[in-house]
Amino acid sequence: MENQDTELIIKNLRKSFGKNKVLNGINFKLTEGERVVILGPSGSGKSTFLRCINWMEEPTAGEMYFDGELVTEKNIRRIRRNIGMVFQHFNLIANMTVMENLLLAPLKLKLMKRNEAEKRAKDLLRHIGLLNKADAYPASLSGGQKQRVAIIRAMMLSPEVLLFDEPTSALDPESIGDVLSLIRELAERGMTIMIVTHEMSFAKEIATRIVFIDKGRIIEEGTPKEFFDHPKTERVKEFLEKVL
Amino acid sequence: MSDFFSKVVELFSTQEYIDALLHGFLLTIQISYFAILIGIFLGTIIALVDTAKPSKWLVVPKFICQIYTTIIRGTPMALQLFIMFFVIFAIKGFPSIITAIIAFGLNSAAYSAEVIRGGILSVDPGQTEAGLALGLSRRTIFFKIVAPQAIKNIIPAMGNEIITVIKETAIVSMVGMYDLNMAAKDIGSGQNMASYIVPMFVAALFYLVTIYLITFIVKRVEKSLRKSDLKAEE
Amino acid sequence: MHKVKSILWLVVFLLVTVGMGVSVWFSIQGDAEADYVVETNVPFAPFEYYKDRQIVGVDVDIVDRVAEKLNKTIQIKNVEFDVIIDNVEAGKIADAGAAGLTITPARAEKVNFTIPYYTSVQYVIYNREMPPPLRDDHIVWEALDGAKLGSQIGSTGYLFVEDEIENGVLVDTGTTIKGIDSHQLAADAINAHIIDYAIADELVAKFIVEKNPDLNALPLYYSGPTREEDYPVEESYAIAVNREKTELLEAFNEVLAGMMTPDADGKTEIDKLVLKHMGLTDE
Repeated sequence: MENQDTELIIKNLRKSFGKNKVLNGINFKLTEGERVVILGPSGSGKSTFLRCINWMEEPTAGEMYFDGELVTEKNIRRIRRNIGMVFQHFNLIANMTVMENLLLAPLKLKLMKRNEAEKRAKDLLRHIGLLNKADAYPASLSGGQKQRVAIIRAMMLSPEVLLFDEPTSALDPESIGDVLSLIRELAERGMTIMIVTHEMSFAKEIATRIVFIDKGRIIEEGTPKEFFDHPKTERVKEFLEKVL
Repeated sequence: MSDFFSKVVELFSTQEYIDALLHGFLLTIQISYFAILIGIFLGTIIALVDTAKPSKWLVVPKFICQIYTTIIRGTPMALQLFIMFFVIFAIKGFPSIITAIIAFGLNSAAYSAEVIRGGILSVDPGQTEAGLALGLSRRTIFFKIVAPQAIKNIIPAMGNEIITVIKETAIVSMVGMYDLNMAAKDIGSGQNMASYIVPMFVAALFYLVTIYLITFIVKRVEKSLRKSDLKAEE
Repeated sequence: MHKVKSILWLVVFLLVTVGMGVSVWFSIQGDAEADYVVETNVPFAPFEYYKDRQIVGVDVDIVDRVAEKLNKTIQIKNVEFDVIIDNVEAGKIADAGAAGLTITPARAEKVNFTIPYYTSVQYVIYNREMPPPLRDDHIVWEALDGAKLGSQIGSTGYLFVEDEIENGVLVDTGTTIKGIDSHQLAADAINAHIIDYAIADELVAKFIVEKNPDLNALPLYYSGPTREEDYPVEESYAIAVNREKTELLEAFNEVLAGMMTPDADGKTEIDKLVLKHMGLTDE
């Protein structure tokens, strides 16, 4: 039905919290290798949109296809293995060491053998320069360190897509750079990525496509050049004036 | 004052009185121990039902749990004990100790449920989300992530609940059971020692030492759990 | 290593639980079902009190005789004094109550009483240095005007005083009655100046006085038209039996009648038992 390298199709996605309608019919397509940055004013529903993709928030209405398969309550757990997520507040498991955090999903879901998983975890830790923290608990890491561990934790399962929900918002300015360069590196290696962020210059640099959401709808989308240099709608112009 | 202390000495040096206190103490511990076990077991179930994701299957159980905790927490323990003894278990030959264990167990369950519920809710929801995002089952998330973190918050408050139960069992003397409190009353009844205050004072010492021991153990457990959090920091 | 430790703790927990369970099981063995259950309220020496954690006393001796006569097992159970009459009336957990119960019209409406087997006079216990106004060898109600009184809660002494304060000679006199957990505590309360005097049954009062040399006790009287016509505040003890248990009532009455027959010295068996349980004889 869809061509092979389309990862994700979303049709008429709606989400309400009680009476509060947050997403009002979103249609969206994601193709392999794309790097989509989602922008929008606060309260626009951009985080909720991202969180609906792996059903952190269960959609109220609409259809989602991942790799051509309709996403339902039944298969979402399996599908989540292919969608990594990085949170604003890192969400490393507090009662587990860094190594245990990395091994948790691969071993619990029986996707890897222990020695294989440990080797991969060590390689990734070495790569981000935190191999010496393998046996440390998250409480003893800095924010930037936590977020980089969270990113490689998401990478452990080799997901097809990585979702970033404001990955640098809770960080001090010094560690932002470390985290952004790690994301940049993933991008260069061809990872399919969706990011909600307030880092405009980073968005401009990394995105292959910008999606602008306001009041639960996609108002405008396009390449960074189109979006930042030739915005089509008044709403986006207004937004860009404020943030740039 | 010297009279008081000479009577304390008399009590401690009389085998019969010490026997009485130890027997009473055993009953106090028997009732408390099993009441606390029942309390933790039932309390955990209530807390799990209460904190579970709402669903149509849980509407009725959630409602029942709420009514249960409201009634138990809203009425005096002495009244609950009397109802158990003289209404619900008003069966000839039914062992008093079982009735008392059930009465205190059901009471403690309501309070333990609150403690456990609070412990579960105090775990950052982000921890559950991290588990979900990794594709883990709710079961795995609960046992591997939420429960171990909740226990750290539960243990100190549960220590308080254990202490409360031990002290509160003293009211079983109202239904004629020979617990530590009754042993003191017995010794001080006038038939034995010519003092009511002295045996009460000594019984209080028994309670105090027991509770001090429990506080000590709870503190140790608490500390060992917290240590695992931060040991890399040393 | 961590696993080994957890398993070790689990084993300790299981051992403790099994141990406690066994100890409870042993303590339940005494609760084997008896043919009859007689409720009492300990301590009320010499009628019921603990000796080596067994309930003994005059009432227990009476019950034992009845059990022997009927060739049945009777269990004595200690409960709160106030619930005995109701429990005997209901008959579900108790068949009779033997707790130095005084026959009152209200109680007699709910249960059957045996013949009275002991008559006791109420006594006022006071500190020798602060006696109430005395009338030679007794104290009249009027002497307690405005005093702070104490008595074992629910005992007949307590009920007597309450009645006088509400409807009798002590109405509007400012006299108060404090319900105290036991007679001995009432004695302690006098010395602690919490109450002025304690009201107790004759035998109990005499016993407390013997153990507390600071205290003394004299009988309490209603005042008559003249000093010579004063009459004592008395109560008669009987055993309460459930209305439907006529066999039990008859057995009690027969046993009590026998025990109240005076011997050659003019003493009844009940009198002897009272003295024995007061520790006043060598038996």
